[in-house]
Amino acid sequence: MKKSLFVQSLKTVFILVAICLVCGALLALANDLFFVDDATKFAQTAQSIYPGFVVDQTLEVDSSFKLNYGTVNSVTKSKDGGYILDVTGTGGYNNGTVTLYVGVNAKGHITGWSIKDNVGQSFISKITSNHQKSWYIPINDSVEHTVADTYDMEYSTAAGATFTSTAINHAINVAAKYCHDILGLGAKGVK
Amino acid sequence: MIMLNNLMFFVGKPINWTTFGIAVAIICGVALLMGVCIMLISKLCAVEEDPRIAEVEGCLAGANCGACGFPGCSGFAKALVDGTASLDACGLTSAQGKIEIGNILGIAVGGTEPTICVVACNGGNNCADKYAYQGYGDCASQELLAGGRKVCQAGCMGSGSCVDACPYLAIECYEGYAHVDPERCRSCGLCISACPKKLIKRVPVSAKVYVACSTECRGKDVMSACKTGCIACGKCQRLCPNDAIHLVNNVPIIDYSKCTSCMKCLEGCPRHCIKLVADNIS
Amino acid sequence: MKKGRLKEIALDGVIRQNPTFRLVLGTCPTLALTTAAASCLGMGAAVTFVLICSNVIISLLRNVIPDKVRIPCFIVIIASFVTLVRMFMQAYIPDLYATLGVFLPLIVVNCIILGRAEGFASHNPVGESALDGLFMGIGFTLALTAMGIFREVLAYGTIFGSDLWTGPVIGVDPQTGATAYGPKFTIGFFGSNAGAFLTYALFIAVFSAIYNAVERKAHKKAARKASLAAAAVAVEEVQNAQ
Repeated sequence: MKKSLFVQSLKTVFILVAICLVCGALLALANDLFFVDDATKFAQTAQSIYPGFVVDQTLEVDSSFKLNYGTVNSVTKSKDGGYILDVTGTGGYNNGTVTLYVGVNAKGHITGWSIKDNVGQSFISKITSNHQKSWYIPINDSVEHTVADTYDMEYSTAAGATFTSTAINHAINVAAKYCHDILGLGAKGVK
Repeated sequence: MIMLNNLMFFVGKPINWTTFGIAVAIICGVALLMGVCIMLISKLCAVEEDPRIAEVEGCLAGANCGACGFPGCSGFAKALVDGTASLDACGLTSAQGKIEIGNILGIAVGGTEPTICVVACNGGNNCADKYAYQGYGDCASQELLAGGRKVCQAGCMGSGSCVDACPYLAIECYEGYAHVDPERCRSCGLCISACPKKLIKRVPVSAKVYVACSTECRGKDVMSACKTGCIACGKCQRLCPNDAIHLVNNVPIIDYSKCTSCMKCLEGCPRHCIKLVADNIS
Repeated sequence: MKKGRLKEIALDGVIRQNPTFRLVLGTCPTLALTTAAASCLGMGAAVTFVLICSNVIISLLRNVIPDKVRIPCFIVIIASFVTLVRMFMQAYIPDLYATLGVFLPLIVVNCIILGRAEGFASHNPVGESALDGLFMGIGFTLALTAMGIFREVLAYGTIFGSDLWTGPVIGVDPQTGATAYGPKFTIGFFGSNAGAFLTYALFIAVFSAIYNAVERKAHKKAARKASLAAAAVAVEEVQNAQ
């Protein structure tokens, strides 16, 4: 005897909803289990971009610092006088932005950077090979590479499907300018 | 309540039941909505399919070789149910399978004996070349250049178009020409279409001898071109006690309904171009 | 499980029906991630995990899921496991998570996983489905890593991140004493998308050539064995009749 449409539908829809219910519940629990908050993320990346970083205090971002190609989100000071800045650079692919953690030591050299987040540039992670990470980091302590200079875009360009390095360049420039202007690091001629 | 406490211990901190509830509600709501839509649309767009098609397809061999001329076994099954195909088109399905299909569809299964393929040529290295061929070594491409490199226009070039076509790896080229292994051949017929000179023929499975030459030339013309070509002397026709072999257009043709495999034609042929089917087993 | 079944499933997954080179499924990560061999291993591990888990669940539910909502159910199950993998990676392996980027959620629609779910798990028992998932994942990982090593070495001169050779020495840095190297010789073409397609084609060609040759040999051997066996049986029958 052929089942009526209603009975057939009931069974089909019920099973679909049951599977979704179970999967949804388990996923919601797992989300809580694996949740990583900002402080943990910061701690994880801090060591890799600035070895020896010990959190001293979080400084207030100076509100008079305005640039048209990026913003500084937070500044954390280290016990040895260095800083890790959370900066966002604009001007990426399709007007996207990139948020980086940039580490600057007391001498005014950039020790490292890593991508925290991005908006509209899905493949931006392709620019984070060791090869590209060394672009902004000076090979040695010579005075020419402190944050006193704004990094020229020609040093480092990379582009591909849905990503360019423009936003990263802008973010690093924002960090460099902030360190030089507000934090007073790496004045020219000072070793 | 104890279970909820255990859950919280597992997660490591108090569970935010609001976000949990929202997430589950959204996913189930979407599932409910889509489920209902699927059911409605499936009724709206239902396609009537004869259930016998699936049953017939289950009885077929399932090799999807396409030799029957239909797109795969499902296409053949549909055609059988529609009545536009005959079961003889498939050489691979077992007799048992064919009987079952006959039962499902209510048709009589023909009593034709299964066949295998043989190459009606044994020239190869025994046949002279009219030019040396350099290039993409396919028989079909050689055929474009003055009918292939062999002097004999009905001669196998041995370059393997049939070898590539066979889905059962039953054909091999050695001694300069192609041989079909009768134990692996399923008579699907793909090699017959692949050969540019149409040298491959079907013979019944029970056949023990076959004529390995297709040339319509005779006498001296053949002897100057090929050491094992048929000169149309007619000795086989005279020797056969059952009147099973006749020369038609200088080509000996065996009528297998009369042939008793006495082998008198094979022994009597001065050119040794009537051969045993079993000699082709690799 | 029957004795030879494990070997059959294993050979199928890794060689005979290798998802990358024979079934040509899952080409999206194959073309995009093979610029670095390390990310291939990560992607392979993720895909294997999702394959095994989704195959097991779908095989368990194969008699319960109605035919009309088969695809939505499969996708929900696969998506749940992919989300789990994503969450786990984001929390514990953030570097790999950043490298794989958008390809992690794309595992949901990776043809291999849905293909094996529909083609194997939905009508085979749980144990066999799990093994099939494992070996398909292994085959995928091996194929991807092979291509990744090839492309990485040729396009960047590194293998798993470490340099294989360096450029010409152009001088010594006066302050640190380290040697400075110029740009090294690489075939950058293989790092591009066109190079990806070419590499894929080359690998499929070589794999198919070797596979067909080996199979022919095996067939010949088996055919000879079979005809010898048949002859032996026939001889025996004649002797028994006498």
